[in-house]
Amino acid sequence: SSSRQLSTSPALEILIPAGLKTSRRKMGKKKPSTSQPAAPAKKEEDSINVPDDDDAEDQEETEVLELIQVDTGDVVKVKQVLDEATVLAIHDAGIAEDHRWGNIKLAVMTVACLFAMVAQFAPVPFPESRPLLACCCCAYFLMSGVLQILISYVDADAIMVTLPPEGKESGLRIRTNQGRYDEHYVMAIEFDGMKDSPSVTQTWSVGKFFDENGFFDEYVSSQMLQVKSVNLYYHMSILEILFLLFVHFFSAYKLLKIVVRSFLFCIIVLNFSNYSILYDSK
Amino acid sequence: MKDIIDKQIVELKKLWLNKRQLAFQALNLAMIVFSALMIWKGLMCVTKSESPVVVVLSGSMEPAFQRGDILFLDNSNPEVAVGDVVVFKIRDRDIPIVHRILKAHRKADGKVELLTKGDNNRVDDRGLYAPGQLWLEREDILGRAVGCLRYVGMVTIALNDYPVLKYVLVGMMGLFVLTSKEG
Repeated sequence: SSSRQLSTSPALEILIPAGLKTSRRKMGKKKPSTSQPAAPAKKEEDSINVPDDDDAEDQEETEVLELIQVDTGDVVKVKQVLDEATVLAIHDAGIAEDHRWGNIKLAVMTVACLFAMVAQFAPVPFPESRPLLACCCCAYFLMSGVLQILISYVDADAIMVTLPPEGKESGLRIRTNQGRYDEHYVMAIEFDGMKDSPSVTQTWSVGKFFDENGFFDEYVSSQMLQVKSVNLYYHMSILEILFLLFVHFFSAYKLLKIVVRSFLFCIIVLNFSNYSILYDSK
Repeated sequence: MKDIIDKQIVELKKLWLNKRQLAFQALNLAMIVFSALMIWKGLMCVTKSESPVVVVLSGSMEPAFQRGDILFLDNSNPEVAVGDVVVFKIRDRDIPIVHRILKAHRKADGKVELLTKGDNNRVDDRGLYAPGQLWLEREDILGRAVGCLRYVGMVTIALNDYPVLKYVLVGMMGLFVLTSKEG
């Protein structure tokens, strides 16, 4: 059984009883259901109560699911995992996703890339191609701006927009928020496109879904497993406080990352053009 | 280091299952690369020069420009004067050279003849020109140096000396962008 364990820490595995098994994609990794003896011992130390024995008995109907593990300090990843689980859960409930805005964004990006490729591969030699290059550059940056507007204002904080479920006229819009370095995950579900639509908001501590080691429990159900809710709070070291100050004061950090990345790509692009290296003879 | 790569590969495998997300991430990567390319083309348009950003590779212009400096070129001005640092290409050779203009003669029909020399060289560039050529013309000049970034070009020189580093760097950055979900 040691060959199946992760290299860094022992994998946390749970049994999915037959009743909960669905055909949907799971975020954790599935394993063949032959590892029953190993599971209960590990679960003890992670403070999760083992489900009853009658579940362990029908081995041919249960699956072992290796839970995915995240670094609990990485708030971005935690939010991502919760968002993905939400999307899977909505699919499970039988509501399909509305891909309209996603398709529009993909189309805008494709058009921008087409303009870029025309600018690069047009067979016109340089001095005569200046007007063409100018048009392509302007068009590219215009498309890029349109894309940014779509992402910031149309999508905003929504992680998913659905088609209308049965019996309703508008689809759902699911918005989630988690403050930086905050343990609370806030989700709001409302009708898409309707003014003053009824909405449902709920806040959870992420400790309800993750344990101290960062294992993510996909099937939180009071019947099957009882998870002690763990409060996620850090003892902030001096280094973390300094880092927080740095990030808050240099709020252009994200912009800086983009600039550094583009610059690095510029250097690389330089290498693919003919005149990039100068050579001098003494 | 290795488990970072492994984690990225696991993410990539997960991405492969969801084709729509994969298309989105791939286009995202393409947009980043094309942004750099479009900035380059934009600079080409504005400065009217074929290669608006170049890297100095040898020390013949010391102490003004050292090996590894990045130079920004501008070709939009048809007049060049003595004392300008220019990048020029000798006919039938593909390697451009950056030196300073030493002498400039304007003939009666308006054509200009130029002679160049590197600051750190002992003699002028007549030895470098094509056999029988004594002067350069304005058409040979690719642009005047208008700006400089010190030492940053060492990255390009390293990438040029060890081409495998180029592919490793581009590959790793591509991998990270494909698997990061910021946009």
